[in-house]
Amino acid sequence: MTTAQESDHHESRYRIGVDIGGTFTDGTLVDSTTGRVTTSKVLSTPSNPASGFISAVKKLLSSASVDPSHIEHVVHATTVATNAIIEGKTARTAFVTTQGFRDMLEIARQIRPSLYDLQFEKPAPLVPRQLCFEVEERVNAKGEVVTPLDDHSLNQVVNQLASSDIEAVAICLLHSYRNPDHERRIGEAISEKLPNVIVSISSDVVPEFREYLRASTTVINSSVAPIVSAYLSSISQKLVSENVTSELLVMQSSGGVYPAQSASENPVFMVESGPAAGAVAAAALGSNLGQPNVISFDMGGTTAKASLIREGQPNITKDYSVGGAAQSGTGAFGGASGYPIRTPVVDLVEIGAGGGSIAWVDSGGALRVGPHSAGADPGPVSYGLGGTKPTITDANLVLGRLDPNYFAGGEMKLDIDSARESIRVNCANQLKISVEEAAHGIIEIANTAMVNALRLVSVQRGHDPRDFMLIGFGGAGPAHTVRLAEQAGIPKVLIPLGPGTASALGLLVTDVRMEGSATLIVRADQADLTQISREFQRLENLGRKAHKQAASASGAPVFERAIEMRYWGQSFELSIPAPNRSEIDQTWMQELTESFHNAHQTAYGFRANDEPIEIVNLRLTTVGKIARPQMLKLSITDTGVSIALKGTRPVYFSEESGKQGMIESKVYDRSLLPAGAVFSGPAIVEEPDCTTVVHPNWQANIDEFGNIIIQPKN
Amino acid sequence: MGDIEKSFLDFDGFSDDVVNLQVEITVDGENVFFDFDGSDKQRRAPVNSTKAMTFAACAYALRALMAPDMPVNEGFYRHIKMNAKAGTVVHAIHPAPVVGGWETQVRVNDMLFRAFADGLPKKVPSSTKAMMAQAGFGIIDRETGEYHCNYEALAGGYGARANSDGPDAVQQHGQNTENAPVEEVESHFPMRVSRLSLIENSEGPGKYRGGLGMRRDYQFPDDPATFTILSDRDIQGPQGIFGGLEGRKAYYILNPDCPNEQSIELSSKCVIDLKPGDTVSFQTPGGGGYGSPFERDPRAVLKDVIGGKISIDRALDMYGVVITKSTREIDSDCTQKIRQSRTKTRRLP
Repeated sequence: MTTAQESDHHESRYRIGVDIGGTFTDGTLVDSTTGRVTTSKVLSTPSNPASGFISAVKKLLSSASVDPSHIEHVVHATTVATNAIIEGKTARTAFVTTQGFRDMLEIARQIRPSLYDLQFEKPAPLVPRQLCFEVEERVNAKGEVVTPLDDHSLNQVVNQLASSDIEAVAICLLHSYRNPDHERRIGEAISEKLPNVIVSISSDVVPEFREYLRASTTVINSSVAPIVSAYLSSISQKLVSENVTSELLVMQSSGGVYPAQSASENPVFMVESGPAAGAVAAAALGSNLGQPNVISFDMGGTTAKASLIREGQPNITKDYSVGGAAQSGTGAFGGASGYPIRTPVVDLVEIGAGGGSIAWVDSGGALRVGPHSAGADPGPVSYGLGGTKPTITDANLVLGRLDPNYFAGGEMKLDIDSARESIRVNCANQLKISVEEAAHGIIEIANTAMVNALRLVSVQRGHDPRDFMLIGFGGAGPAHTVRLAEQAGIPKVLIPLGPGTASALGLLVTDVRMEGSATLIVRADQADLTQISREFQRLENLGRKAHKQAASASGAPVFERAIEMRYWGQSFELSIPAPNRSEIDQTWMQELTESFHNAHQTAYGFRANDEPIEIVNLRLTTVGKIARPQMLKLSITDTGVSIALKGTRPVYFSEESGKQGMIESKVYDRSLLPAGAVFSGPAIVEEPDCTTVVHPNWQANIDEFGNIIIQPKN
Repeated sequence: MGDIEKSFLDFDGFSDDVVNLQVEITVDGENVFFDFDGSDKQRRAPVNSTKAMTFAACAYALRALMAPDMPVNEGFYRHIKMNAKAGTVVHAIHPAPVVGGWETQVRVNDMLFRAFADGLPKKVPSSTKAMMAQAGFGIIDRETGEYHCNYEALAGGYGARANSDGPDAVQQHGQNTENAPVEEVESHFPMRVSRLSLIENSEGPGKYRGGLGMRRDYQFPDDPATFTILSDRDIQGPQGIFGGLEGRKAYYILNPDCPNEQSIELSSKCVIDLKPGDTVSFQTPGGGGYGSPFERDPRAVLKDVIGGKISIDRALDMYGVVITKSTREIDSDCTQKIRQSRTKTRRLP
């Protein structure tokens, strides 16, 4: 028996990651013992995403010839929750709160999302006002009951809910993070009467102070729960019918994974599941090379995303709005255009610049790029599928950066003449410049917006971009990455193997993470240390319990503690990792407050040594480690680059790159570039799903993992 | 010749005289000229705006009416010309008190959009709360003996626009402060916010309606406290535009929901001492409406009735929309008749 089990264990060595995007569903299968990676790309099926999911899995299994029973686990990133919110297809949800606060969701944060827009709208609450109910009860800030829960008013609300044809209820009472008793009793009363209705309780979902943010998080949780759980159970069934019976894990917004069961119960943690994978992939690629500080740049067909990774961990924020404009870097109030969630989210800046972004000249005669995108249909002019407006892809083609005969590995021939004509008619003529200059202008304008995104995640958060490596991926990313590094002052660029599907790799190089938190508002110099210790202990017990669901997919639970703190009187806090000491004593507290002063210095440029510090929240993440797959290593050869040289072609480079105009550049086939190869820009590296542009004054080499590493010459 | 527009603050805090404001806007070639002649002399009461504040109102209005992504640089400011005479409420000089000068500034802002309305009817909103709605309280913590004070500025109804309703309970032109979470405030002060809600039926009716005002009740169960109000709109609510009607005015009430003799209406500018158990109810105005309420889509009226934002009676009185109580459905025939006859007799709500 033992032998058989060991052998089974040995065979269960394949992991599958599936990432569903707007256009394509990307699958990645990795052999965790050898590091060999198989990828698949199928068209997404938005009307029934599960069908695209299972085609990607089937394609992986057949092309890697892997027995389904040898799959260790499957990790999935999905936008099913976000889409439900953005498209207004959430479940019919009711909201129950303390008497006097029925309009919490309507009032929200009372701010306008945009300072100068006179036509702005507040986002319509996910619960209509007629489904918001008040119960007579009140707890104060100390958790003491001021007004007991009134049974009569509770019964009334339960009866109203029963006649309201609802699928879910969110309950958020004032100060329930201190005393959840009334919330629980209301939840029980509702479940008893309406056993099929999903009930989310704010003190379970995110037991932290600030009633509106907690309520909004809870409402999102309950209103997407019926959709997410139905979706996950449908793909679980499909996996079983393909004989894949191993654990299904789901990517969270934080970059950690959790079991499908947890995701069905607490889906608010996976709302931004999709974009997180790219940042996790970049973190793993950097760490693998001993470069824990990297900036991730992921550019696809419609948007570009930037995020910052420090010490191997993506930057995490809890100040996030779903469906809002905050991520496009439009300003501090952008979040007010969406629905806030107080769960950890990878801190991304996303802007409307992708290969399909359309260039145009505005009424004032200025060249503009985006935010409109030609998408995949009709796509860029050069696709010849009916697109008439010039896009970033068309501009790259005109500049010689893309090969018209080797797009998608030659599967699709690009029409360079119509791309030129479109740029002439739509841009160059108005601006009275040449087609090349106009195309170059399009690229530089898009680059400027993307450099701004890189600055938002670095300089604006107090990090110097010169201390980071830039990792470029996504179908359109590597054509722009070197120029962005040049403009942002980043001294090193990495382009991974298979940049078009690299973000799906992020699904396979992360751990199970379960979030827990507790509000404890107390001045650091007056804090009861045993209380802090007790609270962390309580959170660990909860974490252990939650981890049981993921026990088969990950290692024994380990805990990461953090404390959210601020100077006394401030309204916003910073999350500080707890000092690495076994006991919470005075030294622990001194180290903690010192870390806080330093973090404040980094984030805001100053520290206030004499100001009292206030603790507001304790956070505990329960981590179940998942062993990283081996990275496939290549042997360094000295065969040189000539075997990979496909030829030369003229490529347009700008003055800033050292030379201006069309410069004859070498073109390499990436699949033939051996590890150890070194070559100089100007150069183009082609592979089926992507083209890398190496600018003049930059030098590239292929490392032992097949990455292209590009650095300034000298 | 420019468009002349007048406005006023309801109360200056010292005298019963309104604070008159006036602007004439002339677009002359490449410059926009804002002439504030006709505005009152500066007051002894602290309602005086500085020249910079008034200039900021002009720049804001212009910026908001132009292309959304136009950069704000020297080239933009160069085209703003302003005449605000020194010694007036829009250009206070020493020793005029200015602590409540923002009341004047935000009302100037509101007035500017009204002045632009004839020229840019599709762009300007109807009147917004146009008051800062500043609420402060001070209280001594019994446990530590320390004095603590809290300040916040509340949202109100936004003005209706040419194609959309004014949002409910939101900040106004030039002001975008968040509300303090109730749980945060209660964690630091021995008091309770006993209510935070929209004010039903407070919208300025119109083809598009103004946003609802907001109510925040501050209760001091166990301790004496002082409460400060620095606000306005206690006489007139935000006006409607192009046939739209006025939003509900602001109310500041000591001990609301109590028998008449204990419930006292406070003024928009005051400091009062509270005894343990007292409550101050701060009620901000609703936004002004845009266009005739009889042109409002009855389905939009019904939606507000179903959401409880306006009552069935108000739907009939203000909008001429008949909604059957039992079924919550629009009676189209009756609605049409009532709207026709009221339009014919020019009987406005």
